[in-house]
Amino acid sequence: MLNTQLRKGVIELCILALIARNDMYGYDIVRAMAKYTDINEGTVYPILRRLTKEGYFATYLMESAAGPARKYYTITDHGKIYLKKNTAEWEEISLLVNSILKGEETDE
Amino acid sequence: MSRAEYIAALTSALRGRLAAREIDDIVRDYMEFFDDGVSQGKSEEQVAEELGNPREVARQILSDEPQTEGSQQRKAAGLDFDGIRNGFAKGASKVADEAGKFAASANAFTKRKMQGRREKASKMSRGTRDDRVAAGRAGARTENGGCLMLILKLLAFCIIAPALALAIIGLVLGFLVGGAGILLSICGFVVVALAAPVVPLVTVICGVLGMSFAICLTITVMLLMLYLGQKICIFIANLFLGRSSSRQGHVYEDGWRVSGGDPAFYRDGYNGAAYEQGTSQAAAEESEWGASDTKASEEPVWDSYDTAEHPQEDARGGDHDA
Repeated sequence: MLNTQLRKGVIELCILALIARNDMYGYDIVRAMAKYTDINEGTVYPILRRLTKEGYFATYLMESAAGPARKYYTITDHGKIYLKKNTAEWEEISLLVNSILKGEETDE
Repeated sequence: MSRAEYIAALTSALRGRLAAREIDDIVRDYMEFFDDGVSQGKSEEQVAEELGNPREVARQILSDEPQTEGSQQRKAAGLDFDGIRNGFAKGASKVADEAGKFAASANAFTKRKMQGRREKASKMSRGTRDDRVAAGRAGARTENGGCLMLILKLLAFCIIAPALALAIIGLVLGFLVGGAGILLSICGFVVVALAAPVVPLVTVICGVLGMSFAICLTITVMLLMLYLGQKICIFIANLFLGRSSSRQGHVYEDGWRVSGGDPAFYRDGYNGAAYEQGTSQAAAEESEWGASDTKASEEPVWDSYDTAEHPQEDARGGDHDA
């Protein structure tokens, strides 16, 4: 398994990207993430909480058709900037890692 | 594991580590997750299994909490003090963390101080006769080692008092000389300005620059000396009177008070008002500290434990409110 710190960062980036597309509620996000990874579902909420506290997400409650109100997460301007910055960084890293893994020569 | 069991395990793993408000918020999120899972046709047990071990989840939550959470937690535990809170809590997370540590030590310090004050105030209220009786008793109690300590302390006082006086005189003299230096510099400036038409321009500029430099240097050194002097005086006062303000020092406190050695005067950083008001100030402060102390100890730390015990009702109630 990948280094937990790296894994955490990647999951964080995925959650940011998902919510940047659409406002989502907790279960929705967990399900969307579970589609792509074998992520432990309980660990998504802590990340959501942290990103909200750091001001990248805002939350609001909306009544659902069935059951109680759901907490929706929406990306803030601050979060958009953060996502953009992280996406660029990720692309750079993945390029580098891929080229090394595939054994390509990289010239400085 | 059912929903109730899961939430209970999660709550108990977080209790005492996060503020009750935070725990309520987390419980709300996980309740919602259970609701959604169940509405998707899963059993509570299935949802709980998907979420994973509640202790592990709690660990994750705690490790993901931003650092400022730590200071909030301390605040809830009543360890933080107003001044420190205002001064540091708004800072970066590291600073907040440091402030927490500082608050803890400040707390210990104030408690010690408070106890000393209380002792002193209660003794003073009993009057001088009682005082002497108490002093006699204290003397008797510390007869063996106490006498030696008393002599040593008196000797130390005999050395430190003149040294302190000399230091203060030196400080005052230094100020006078420094002030005279500045005055002389200004006079020199005036003379140079008057002589300007006669003296070459370069000389005037050099004179002005040199003088400005001298003035700046003098002021800086004076301020530095003042600061150092204050620090040293407070340090000495604390070293000497801080320790002897307990029962032992009380034995010869009568004699000292006449010579103006009221410990409160020194401890309050040479506050003239404190010196003049003497005992009444100490008594007033004692009651103030006492009040804040009882407040801190009586304040329920986790005031919404009850809601945490019954998260289900609480979470639903919260939803409707919102």
